[in-house]
Amino acid sequence: MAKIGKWTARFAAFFLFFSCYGLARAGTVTGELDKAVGSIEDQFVYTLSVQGSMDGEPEFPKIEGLDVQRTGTSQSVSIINGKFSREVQYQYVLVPQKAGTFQIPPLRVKLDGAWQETLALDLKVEDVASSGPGAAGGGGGNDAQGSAEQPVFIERRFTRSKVYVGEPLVATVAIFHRVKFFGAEPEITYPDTFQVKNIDDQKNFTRTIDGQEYAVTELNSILTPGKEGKYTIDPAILNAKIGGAPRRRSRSWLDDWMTPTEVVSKRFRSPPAEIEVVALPLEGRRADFTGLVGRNIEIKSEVSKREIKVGETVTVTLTLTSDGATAGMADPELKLGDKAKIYRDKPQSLDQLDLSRGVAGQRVLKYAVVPAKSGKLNLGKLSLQVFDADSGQYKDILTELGEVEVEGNAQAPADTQALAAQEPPAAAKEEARSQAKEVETLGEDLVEPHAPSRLESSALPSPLEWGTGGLLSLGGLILLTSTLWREKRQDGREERELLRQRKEALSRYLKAMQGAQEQLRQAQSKAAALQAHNALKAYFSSKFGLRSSSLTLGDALVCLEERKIAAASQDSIRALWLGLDRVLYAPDVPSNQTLETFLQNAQQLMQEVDKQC
Amino acid sequence: MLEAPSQKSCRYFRFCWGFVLLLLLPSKVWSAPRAEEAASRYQKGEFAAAADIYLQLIDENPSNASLYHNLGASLYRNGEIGAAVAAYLKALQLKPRDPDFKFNLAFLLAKATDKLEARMPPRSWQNLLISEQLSQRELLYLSVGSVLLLSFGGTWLLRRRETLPRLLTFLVPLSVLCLYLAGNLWAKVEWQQDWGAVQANELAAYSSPTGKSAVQIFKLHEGAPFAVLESSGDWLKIGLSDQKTGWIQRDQVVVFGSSLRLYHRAVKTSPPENAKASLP
Repeated sequence: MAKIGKWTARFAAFFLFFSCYGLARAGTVTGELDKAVGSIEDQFVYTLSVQGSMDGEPEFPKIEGLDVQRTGTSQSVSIINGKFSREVQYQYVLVPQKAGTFQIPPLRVKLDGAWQETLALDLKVEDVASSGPGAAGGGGGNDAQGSAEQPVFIERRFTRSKVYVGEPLVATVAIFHRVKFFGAEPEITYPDTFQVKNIDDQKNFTRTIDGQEYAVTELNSILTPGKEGKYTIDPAILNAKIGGAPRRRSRSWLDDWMTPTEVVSKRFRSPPAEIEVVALPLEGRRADFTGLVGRNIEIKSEVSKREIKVGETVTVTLTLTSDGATAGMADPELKLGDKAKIYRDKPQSLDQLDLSRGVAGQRVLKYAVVPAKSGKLNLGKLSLQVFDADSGQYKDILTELGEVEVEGNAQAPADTQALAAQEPPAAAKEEARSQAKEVETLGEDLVEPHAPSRLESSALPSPLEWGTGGLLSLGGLILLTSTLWREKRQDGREERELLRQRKEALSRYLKAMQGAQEQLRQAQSKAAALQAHNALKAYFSSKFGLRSSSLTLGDALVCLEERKIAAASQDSIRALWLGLDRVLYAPDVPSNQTLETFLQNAQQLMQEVDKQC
Repeated sequence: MLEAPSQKSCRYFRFCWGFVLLLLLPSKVWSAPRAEEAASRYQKGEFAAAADIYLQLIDENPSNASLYHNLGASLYRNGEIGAAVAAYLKALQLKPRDPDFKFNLAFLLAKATDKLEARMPPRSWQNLLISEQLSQRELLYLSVGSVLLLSFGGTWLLRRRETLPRLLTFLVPLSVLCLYLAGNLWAKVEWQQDWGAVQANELAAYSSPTGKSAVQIFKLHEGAPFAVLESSGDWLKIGLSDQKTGWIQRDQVVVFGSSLRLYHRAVKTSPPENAKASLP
């Protein structure tokens, strides 16, 4: 029994040891914020550090009022005193959407099979005092007024805070800053029911506020609301990287230049704004309402000629101006019945941004009128129904087009039917052509359907064609790249061969020279000289990649010159070459002793030259 | 045993030609007897019946340009000018340079009240593209051809161990051409815009797809061509060649698009007199 107790105690001690060991080995997880208090313009960085082996990926909880973006992961592995440890850091950027105190709940992760969690953290986001007052004001209200305390602030203006459906307004976002931007990206959004046209030209100027000079960038857009309702416009946001204080105290301009400025990411915002969009009243709207909504709407007309002949063209120009966009309006129609033919030109709209009027719109419409009969042609009045946003009512704008005196023409057709059949006059035809270029090909009737035998197969490539085309292209490219690779490899092989030959050039030369000396010992001085000469040529051909059979002294000297071999060595080579030539071709043969010395000197010379090469 | 590289490339070359010849074989995937029947109905003046058969054939072969051409002619004779314009717009989208399609579309557009073109004004960079002038198949063949020319030409020059300047003189322009053609092909496949035409006698376009409170901004008439920019419920956002945009109701228009197909048989009392009279 005592034995059993002893074993139980041993087992318990063993179990306790391994449990403690296991616990000691279990990983740790910590979460920390780079700062616990900041302003709404700041971004906060939350770092989750995990030591140990984690199952899956950590999940950051959703917190209302905080935008969370995971920015990256870093890993570090360390071995200290033989102990291996691994730490993974997950970084999250928290962007506050509103001021207040946020609690980041504990993040739970499974480490080495056991659940671990971080501590809950509090994050206090303070409002920026002077960016507060900005509810949208009345007409032309500002969203925010900055103060000189802020290095960056956003001001937003709308030309009106109450508009009618279809009535354009100008939205201006002005970014004031007196610090250097190292990159800035605005986020300006409007409700989906607003048509937004951004004005490309941004305005840059400076303004002094409370003695501080700000650089101002203005971004303008024309908004056209498409649906009635009260809209809350989201804050205009600027994500900017701005220069903070230098990292250490500067002592000189060089220090300033060498010390990098700290760059801080900030998120600036204007307060939200409200715009009320009022529906156009149904009462008073006629079916021929042009859709033009604006203020100070006016129409002017101009008739190019008051006296013409039958068949000639008179151009009627209508110019509509309005404090509102004219691009989307319906165009009026001139109705002259069978008295004349009318060809309408493509209308031209020019809606420009005007700081005093908002949008200054102008639409020019041109009609080419070809009278069919002689006599007085009364063009009549033209009445357009528009909506006047000032009075909040529909109104008709009128223009008197007057009369045109049409003289008779013997060649002119007498009645309208004949005129209808006639080709339009050159000017009108030209206008018609400019409107629809393909009209030139007109004939009497349609081209008849294609016969069944002419019906072709699909005009789009079939999957087989796509696949084949892809395969052929791929195959071709593979062929090209493989050839390129093979040629490169071949070049490398040849290069290596050349290098090998260069390396072995001297040893071969020396070997050949030994052969020459052997022949000299056998009293074959001519043969020895020939072998020495060939060995010299073979050396140069191997060393410089030249063909040995056609190698001349000149070639060898050029190569030596290119490799900047000493002039004395070059002279010696020349002397050696010519000396061997003399032995070969001169009738009197020098003594063996002289020739042997000559060959020995030649060996030494070539060893020196080879070193220099 | 390894083959010599030249033998390998010769085999690849023969393989390529084999495939190209296989692709060039005529392939008729449509039903010939029904096409005959449609043609015979058309000859008898039964245009609605002919159009119905062509519509069925198009269901089976939605990318056959000639079927759209025949459908367009049948619809026109049946008095459906808007639907005929839509059919020709589709036919031209599939085969942009076909003279018959171009002629018939011009003929129909000249009859329409609204003088609009069947294309949006191109942006400056779009003028550099040729994808508007070539069909998808032509662009595919040209792209593959240019890649093959680049590959075989480049391989040949490499084998001949031509100098680097010569190689670059050949390879650089051809590579640019390949990229240009491939870019055009990509634009053709990805940026294809659906076009349609107005079927109703008159159709109002509104500033937003909201019905009651929306402002009517312009009117269109039968046969007016438009590009479909967006779709929302029963509404379509359209763009015209004069750069106007507006929302219209989709049951009043005909679209034979790649992603959208709308067609309702318009109730016409009788085909236009000139359409009937001009039959052979």
